Amino acid sequence: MHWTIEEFQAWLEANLSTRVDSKRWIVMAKRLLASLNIEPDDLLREATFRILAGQRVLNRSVPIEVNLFGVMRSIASSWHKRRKRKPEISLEDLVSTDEVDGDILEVLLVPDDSRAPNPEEELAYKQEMEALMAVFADRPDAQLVLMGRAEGLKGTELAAFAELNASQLATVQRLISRRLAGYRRDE
Amino acid sequence: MSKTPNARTQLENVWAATVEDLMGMTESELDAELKELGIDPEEAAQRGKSAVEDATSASRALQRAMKRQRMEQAREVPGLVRDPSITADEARVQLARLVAANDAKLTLAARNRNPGDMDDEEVLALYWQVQELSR
Repeated sequence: MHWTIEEFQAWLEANLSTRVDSKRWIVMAKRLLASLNIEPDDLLREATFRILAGQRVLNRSVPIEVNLFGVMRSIASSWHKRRKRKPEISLEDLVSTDEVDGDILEVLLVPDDSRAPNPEEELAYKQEMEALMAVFADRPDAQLVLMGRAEGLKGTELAAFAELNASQLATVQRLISRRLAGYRRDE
Repeated sequence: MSKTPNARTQLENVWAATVEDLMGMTESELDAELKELGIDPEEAAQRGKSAVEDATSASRALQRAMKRQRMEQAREVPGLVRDPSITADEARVQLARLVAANDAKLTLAARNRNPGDMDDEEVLALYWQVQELSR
């Protein structure tokens, strides 16, 4: 099941029309691009265009904003990979790159078909989760929050699980979001 | 704590929480991070807005171009080859059947007419029109 282009358009009008919303997605784009010499608005433009043009479909099992993030992350990841393989690539060629390889670890973009994962997939998911945990090897507090998040905990439940107060939790969550945006499997 | 989600759902939860965190940021937090990243917050607001507007215009232009292409392709489909052996009488018989069946391929005006009352030219024109619609 997918969100339709019309639903995405309506979401854009309601959620990406104010100055604050624009800043929000530019922050995320910049986090995802990290050291890549591409403007963050180029990433937002490409992701939005590819969805509106029907080149990327949106997984209905997660909210539209999570899909937009997933598409931006996937495009940024293909740009990082391409630049790594071909450092001399022109900016124009790089920006037009969009390798959609059906990576099962793009869990935000691939609809859950409700079947139980096969052992290889299960192993891949677990290894990816371990890799994400390893990003916070220097921060046991963040690892605990990450574990809680993985379990679906939020707010006070998550704070209690990680033994943090609300303000500490907010700080750790911000750290997690920033570092995860920079996480790439191939590095 | 409720049942532990499977590994795929755990990953999904982690990434979705990253977005929740982004959506929960206040404007002053966003401004502070933008400055930290070397981006002027007001410029970011402008560029973000333009990016969405550009993407919307470009996708509309693409949709229009695709529509035009489809129309051109449809025009390029060769017309129906009219079998010269179909006579006006045969056409009348077949049209009479369609009129009797109140077939949707016939216009309302055509459904209210008796093919027996039409001249040869008229009955053949209507017959081939219906054949075109049936393709």
